[in-house]
Amino acid sequence: MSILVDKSTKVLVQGATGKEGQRAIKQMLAYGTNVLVGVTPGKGGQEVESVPIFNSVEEALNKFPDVNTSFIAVPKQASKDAIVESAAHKIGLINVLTEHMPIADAAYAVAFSKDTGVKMVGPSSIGIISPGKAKLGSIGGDNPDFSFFPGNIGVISKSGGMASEVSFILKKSGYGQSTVIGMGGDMIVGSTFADLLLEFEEDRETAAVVLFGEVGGSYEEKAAEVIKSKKFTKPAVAFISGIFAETMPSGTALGHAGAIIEAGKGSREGKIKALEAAGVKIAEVPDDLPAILKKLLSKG
Amino acid sequence: MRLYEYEGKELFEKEEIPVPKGKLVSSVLDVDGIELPAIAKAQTLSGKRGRDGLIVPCKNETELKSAVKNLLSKKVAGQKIDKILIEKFLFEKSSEFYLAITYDTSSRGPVALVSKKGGVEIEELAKDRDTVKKITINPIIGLQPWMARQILSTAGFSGLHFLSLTKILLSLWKVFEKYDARLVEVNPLIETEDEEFYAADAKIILDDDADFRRGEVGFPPRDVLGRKLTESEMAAKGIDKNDHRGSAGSTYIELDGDIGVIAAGGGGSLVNMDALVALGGRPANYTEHSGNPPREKLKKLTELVLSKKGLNGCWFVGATANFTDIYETLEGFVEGLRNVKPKPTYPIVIRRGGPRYEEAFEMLRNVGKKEGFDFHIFGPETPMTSTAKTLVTLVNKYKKLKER
Repeated sequence: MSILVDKSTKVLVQGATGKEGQRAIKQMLAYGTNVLVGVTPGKGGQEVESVPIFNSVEEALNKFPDVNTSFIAVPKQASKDAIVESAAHKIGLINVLTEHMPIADAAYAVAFSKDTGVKMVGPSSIGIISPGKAKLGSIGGDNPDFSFFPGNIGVISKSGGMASEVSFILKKSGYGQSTVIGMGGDMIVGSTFADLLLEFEEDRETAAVVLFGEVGGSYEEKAAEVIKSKKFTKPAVAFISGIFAETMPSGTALGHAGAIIEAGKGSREGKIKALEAAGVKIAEVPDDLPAILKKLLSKG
Repeated sequence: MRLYEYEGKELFEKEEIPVPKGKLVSSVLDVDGIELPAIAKAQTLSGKRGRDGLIVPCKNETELKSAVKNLLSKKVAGQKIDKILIEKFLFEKSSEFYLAITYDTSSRGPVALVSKKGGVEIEELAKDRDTVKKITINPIIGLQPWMARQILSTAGFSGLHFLSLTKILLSLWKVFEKYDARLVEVNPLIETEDEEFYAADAKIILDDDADFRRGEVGFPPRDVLGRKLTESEMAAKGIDKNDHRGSAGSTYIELDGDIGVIAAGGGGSLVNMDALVALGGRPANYTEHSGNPPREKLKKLTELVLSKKGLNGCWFVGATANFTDIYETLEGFVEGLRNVKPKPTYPIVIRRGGPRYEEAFEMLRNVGKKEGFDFHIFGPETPMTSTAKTLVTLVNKYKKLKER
C-alpha cells in the first residue's frame, strides 16, 4: 500500500496547457502515472503530450468518469476557482501546486473541500509520490529515481525541495519510501501533518514517518497532539528548521492577535518541545535522520 | 506588508470606522491650525511606540512644536522618523477595548478577537483565557452580523456599546476582506466622554500574495520593519522583475557578516543557514533561488552578493534540485564571479546536486584551476549542512592568513 496516490490514481490536470502544467504532465506520464485528461478554459480541443484538453472539469469528467485525482497547476489568480471546480465535482484528491495563493482564497478552498468531503493537499505543494507506483506533480523532477525508491518510510515536508532531499538522504542509507508528500509551507494548507499522519497510521506498508517542519503556525504542535493521543502510533522523526529564521525580524508575526492566538506556539523551540513530549525524535541536521530511524525501527 | 498607522486609518475611514481627526506632518512648519490639546504620534512600524516615548500628548502649540521637532530627530531601528500623525486628544470615558481579525492555523480560517480590556498589556491579559473572546469565522460565509453580536455579547458588552461595536466589528471585517488583510487590529478602541467610539490605533498587515487585486490601493514597498529597502535589496528585486523564468533575487536580505551566501531552494536554504549560524558563521546576506532560473539571473545575483566589501568566504549551496539545471546556474555563478573586483581570493565552497551537476562540476574544476579560484566542490554524497563546517573552517584559516 501507500497513501493518496498509487497505481489506481487517475489524474485530471487543471492548467494543463501552462508551463508548469505541461512539465508536470510530461513527468507524470514518464513515471507511469495515469494522466487521463487536462482542463484549460479556452483551450478545449488541444492536446498536451497526447492528453486531451477540455474547457471545463464537467466536460472532462463526462468523457473520463474514472478520474479520481485533480492536479492544480493554474496561476494564483485563478487557483481558488479551479480548486472549487474540482471539489464541486467531488474529485476525491486535489493536489495544488500553485504558489503564492492569497491566504483568503486558500482558506476558502480548504473550507469548501472539507465541506464537500474531498482531500486537498497544498497549495505550494511540489507534489506527492508513492515510489514505483505513481507521482503527482513535479516532485523528483525528471529523475525521481535519484531520490526515491519503494520502501516503508513515509515523508511529509513543508518544503518541496527538502521532500526530495530528505528522501535522498534516506535512500543513501537504504531506506525507501511508501509515500512522500510536499505538504506546502503556506500558513493555510489543505492537509496538515496531523491529517497525513492519520493516513499513514492506516497504511500497513508504512513503518515510520519523517516530518520536515519549519517555524510558524501550529501544524507541528497539532501533529504532536495526534501522536500524544495515540491516534498515530508508529515511530516518528522530525527535523524543524528555523535557527536562522528566528534571528530575523519577524515578518509573519501577526501583531498582538498572532501572539494571543498562537500563545507560545510557532517557535522552533516550542515545536521541538511539543514533539519531544509526544515521543517524537528530533534530528539536529537532516543527515541524522537515517541513524535515528534505524534505532527506532530496530526497537520495534 | 505592514501598514503605518496613518495608512491603516485611511482604510478605516473608507469603510466608516471612526478615527480621531488628524493631520499627517513631516515638518514643524505644518503644525499650524491644529486643534489642541493634541497627541503627536511617530509613524513607525515598531510595536512599542508608547513605551519608547514615540507618542506624546501636547497641551498647547509650544509643546506640540517641540514634540514634533523632537520626534523628527529620532531614529527607530536605524530608520529616521519622517512622518508624525497629530490627532485631536480624546478624553476617555471608560476602559480601552480591543478588536482584531486575523488568520488562525488551528481553524485554518479567519478569527475575530474581542476584549473589554484593551491597551498595551493585551498580550499579558490574554494569558487569562477569559479576557479575550475568540470566534472562528467560516471563510465561505464570512463574518455575519449575528456572529458579531454573539461574540460581543460573550465578551460582556451590552446596551449602546453593544450596537455601536457590532457596527465597528462588521466594518473591520469589511476592511479585512476587501483589502485582503492578514491582520486588522484596533488597540485600543476608545469611548469618549460624549459616548462616541474611535479607533485610536490601526494595525494592518496586507497579504502580499493578493497584490494583484488591490489595484487602486498602492502603498510604497518596505521590508518587514518598515525599512526602505537597501540599495542591494532593491537591485536584487530588480533581477526578477521583468523575467519570470525561475526566481533569483526576490528574496534577498542584507546582513552584516563576512560570508557571501548564494543558496538554493526556500526550505533547503533555511536548513543551510541554520547550520551556518549554529556554527558561528556570519552570513553577509540571505538569498535563495529556485524554479530553474536562467544563467543571466545567477550571474547578476552573484555579482551583487560578492560586490560586498570585506568578504572572507562564499557559499553556493543547495540540496539536490528537482528540476533546476545545475550546469546553467553554476555557469551563471562563474560568469558573475569573473566580474567581481577585486578578484576573490577567499575560499568558495560549493555544494549542489540535481540535473547536469556532474557536467557543472567538471566545468568548475577547470575554471578553478585555470583562473585560480579557491573552489571546494561537493556533490549530493556530501551532506549539505556538513559543508557549513568546511566553510567556517576555511574562512577562519583565510582570516588568519589575511591578518599576517
